[in-house]
Amino acid sequence: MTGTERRPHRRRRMVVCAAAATGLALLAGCGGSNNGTSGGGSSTSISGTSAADSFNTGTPKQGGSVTWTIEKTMQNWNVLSADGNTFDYAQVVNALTPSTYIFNPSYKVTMNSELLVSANETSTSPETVVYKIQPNAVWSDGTPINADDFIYNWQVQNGTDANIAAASTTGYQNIQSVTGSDNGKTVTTVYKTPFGDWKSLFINMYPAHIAKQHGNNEQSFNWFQTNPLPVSGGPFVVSSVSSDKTSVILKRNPKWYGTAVPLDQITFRAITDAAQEPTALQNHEVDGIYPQPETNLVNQLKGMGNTITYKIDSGLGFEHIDFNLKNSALGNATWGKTLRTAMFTATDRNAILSKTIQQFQSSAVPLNSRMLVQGQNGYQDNVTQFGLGTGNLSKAQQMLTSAGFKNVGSGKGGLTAPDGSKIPTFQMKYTVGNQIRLDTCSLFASEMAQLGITVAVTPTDNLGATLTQTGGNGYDIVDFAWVNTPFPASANQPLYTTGGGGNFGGYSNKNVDAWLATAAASSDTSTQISNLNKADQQISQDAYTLPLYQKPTLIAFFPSLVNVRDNATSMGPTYNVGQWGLKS
Amino acid sequence: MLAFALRRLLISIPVFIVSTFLVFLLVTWGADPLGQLKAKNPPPSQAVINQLSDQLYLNHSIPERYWHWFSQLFFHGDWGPSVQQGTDIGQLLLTSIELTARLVILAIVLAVILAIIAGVVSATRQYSKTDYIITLIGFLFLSLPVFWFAILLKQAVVNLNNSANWYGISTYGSGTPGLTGGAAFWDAIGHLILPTIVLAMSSYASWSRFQRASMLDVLGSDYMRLARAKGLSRRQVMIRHGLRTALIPLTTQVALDVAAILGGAVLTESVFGWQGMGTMLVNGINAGDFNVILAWLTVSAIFVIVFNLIADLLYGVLDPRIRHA
Repeated sequence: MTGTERRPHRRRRMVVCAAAATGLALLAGCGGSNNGTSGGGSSTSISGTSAADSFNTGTPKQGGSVTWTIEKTMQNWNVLSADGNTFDYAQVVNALTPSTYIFNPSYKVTMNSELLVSANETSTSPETVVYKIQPNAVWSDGTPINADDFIYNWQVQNGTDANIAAASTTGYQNIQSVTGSDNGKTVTTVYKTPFGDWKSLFINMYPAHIAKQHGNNEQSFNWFQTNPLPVSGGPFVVSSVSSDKTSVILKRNPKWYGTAVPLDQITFRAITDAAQEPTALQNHEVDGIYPQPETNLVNQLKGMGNTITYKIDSGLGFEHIDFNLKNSALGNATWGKTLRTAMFTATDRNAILSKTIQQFQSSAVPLNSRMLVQGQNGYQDNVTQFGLGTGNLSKAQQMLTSAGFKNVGSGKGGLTAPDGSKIPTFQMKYTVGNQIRLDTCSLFASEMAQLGITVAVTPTDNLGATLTQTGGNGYDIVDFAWVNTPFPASANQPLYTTGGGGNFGGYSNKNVDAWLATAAASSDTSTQISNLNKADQQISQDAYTLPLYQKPTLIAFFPSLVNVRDNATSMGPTYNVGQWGLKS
Repeated sequence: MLAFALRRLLISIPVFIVSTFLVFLLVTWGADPLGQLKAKNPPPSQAVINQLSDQLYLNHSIPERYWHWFSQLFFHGDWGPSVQQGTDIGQLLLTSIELTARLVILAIVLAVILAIIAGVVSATRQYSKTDYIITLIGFLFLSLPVFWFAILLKQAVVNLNNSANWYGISTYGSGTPGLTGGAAFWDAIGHLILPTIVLAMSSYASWSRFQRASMLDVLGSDYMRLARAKGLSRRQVMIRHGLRTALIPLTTQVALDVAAILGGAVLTESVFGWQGMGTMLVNGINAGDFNVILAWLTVSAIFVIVFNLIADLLYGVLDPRIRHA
């Protein structure tokens, strides 16, 4: 890709960037300490564990400045908009906008106690959530953060105004009303339909009083896209933006209501070519980087020795292979499921890992869930128990033969279905320039050839159009990535529910619809997990998709920085930017 | 000469229209401006897609869309909307041109000075050790891929900076944010050094060979022998009679090469992270942002047309033997 997208802000979304990594030795390195780090690297993942929350913890001195890297120039300041919903923009905006909940590196979701006194679901029928805002929480111009802000952020994201190009309406569209009391410091949200992941709402809120100065909701929403925030509800305020938008300087917010902020200033510099980031770090032009890991990048960081600290973790993103059930063979009502199951049974995920991700992360293992990743509460193996991804070629051939398929195996003229129709050549797509995905697809194709199935592997430079099958684009099989979130219930629903916005392959199962709906509507974690796993198992039985592995993340910075750490959630490393500092 | 210039400009108009239309076709067929947006999950609603399609004039035929772009630009001075909501194409052009101009002008000046020195020395000391060394250096830089040279140079400078514990030469971007006054000036110089060297060296190599050949041609001419025979010093002969004449072809070659240098700046800007015209084009192509691509093409086409015209006119001005009909 061009790099195109990076990681998502909020919600699960597809990773379209290409990480062409080839080789990296596993390093045993030092982990976190209570005095920051002493340099060096590690590729032992701690994401999803409590160790991730305390990595590089330290007591910072007061004062100083840090320069951090982002990979896009600041073209859009409204991360709630469809166009602005980009990881890099969110890294900057995290420092300026208040959020009700924090997504931690351990994947735990905790209430932002600097903004809120409490947040409780006071009723389930109708679902009602009451937020109490800290009395001293104000925007940097002194205006109190209050219910008006919640109301505005709900109105622009609830989908009632079709002209507002919001990134997501999930959850907000379930809300019936948002009202304020106690001088606006108590906010009551009443839901018309239950939404279990209510903690995922009211993240990165924009100031209502500023919105009022710029027209109606649509106009103000667009204004926030094109203009740096003039006020801040976070630990920093915007001081300046360069004319070419490659750098943003933030200074400490003088009206910050939370724990004292150690840094005087933080500068975000855009380095749009990830390959240049280690050099910029080595030349002290930036103090920290967060690129997608690639062999060359990691080798450069290794070469810097203990002058820098770097960490490779397994992230929330994961690669997977999907079938398009709109294909007449793959989606055949009679024998399509058998065909798909055989194809995934013949797929050897360990071989794929060995050729791809294990080249630079030897500890990587196959992922056995679509809904959750390792480290998330409730993760379990919903894949291999059905024989998928095991590379058991003989079993796959036997499956096809027993079902009445003819010419099973290579060199027999091509697989024929039980009804006598020839199994067509399947077009398998991957993002152009992504060597790892090319290797994955090539291996898959060679395995399918052993079943008598021809798979033509072709790149696409427009994954979006390919998945949505628009503009003459399309696919039969595709290799791409989703990114999980700390809210798997609501995040997965659009991907596997009949007619869901992310259900590109046309999957439909009434039971899965029901289980995912139950999970999304429930606030009880065990109910969510139970229903997600049931849905996941059904999707495996239906052989719609095959999860492959979790994508790694990479962070590198000078050891003089404390409280800087990897965060594989959509909030990213700047989730705690107000705690960043220099070693005392 | 005025008539010649006007004729050339008039001919350029249909050339410009055809080239922009062809590029428009290629971009329209090759990319979906809303592709990246549609790829987000959850994808934006159809109403949002429709709204953005209307905004970008996507729901019209290609000739209609081209005419819309053309008329908006030339009759209303509007470059059109970018697919990236927060981008003002006009403003983007201004900042991009300023950055690229800063880089290119300095690179051209450096390359010309070095090429003249190398070409003259090489020609006057033909087949000497000096000539061979200069020739070798010239061919070396001619064969070095710009991208490779830039990365090697960066890494060498980084190692030097680290060993000296001095970070005055920067490897990325056009400036360190937040500086003012003298600090900003010296910082800008520090950011200019590496990309200027890279861009200059690729032009220096061919120009030095060109200058050497031109100088040799002049040195072998009768009037030079006559000037020496009349008793003028070698220095006077070389500079007043020889070099002045030998510079004419180089001057026009430089004018013709400006457009090529703009293209070479794409790679240099990518490696060094300058948000100039080259980066603007690359980003526009990646995003399928046809208005940005066409804006780049318009500016580049104007540069090519103007500098080609300048080259032709300069030849007539510098060489009295040439007159334009």
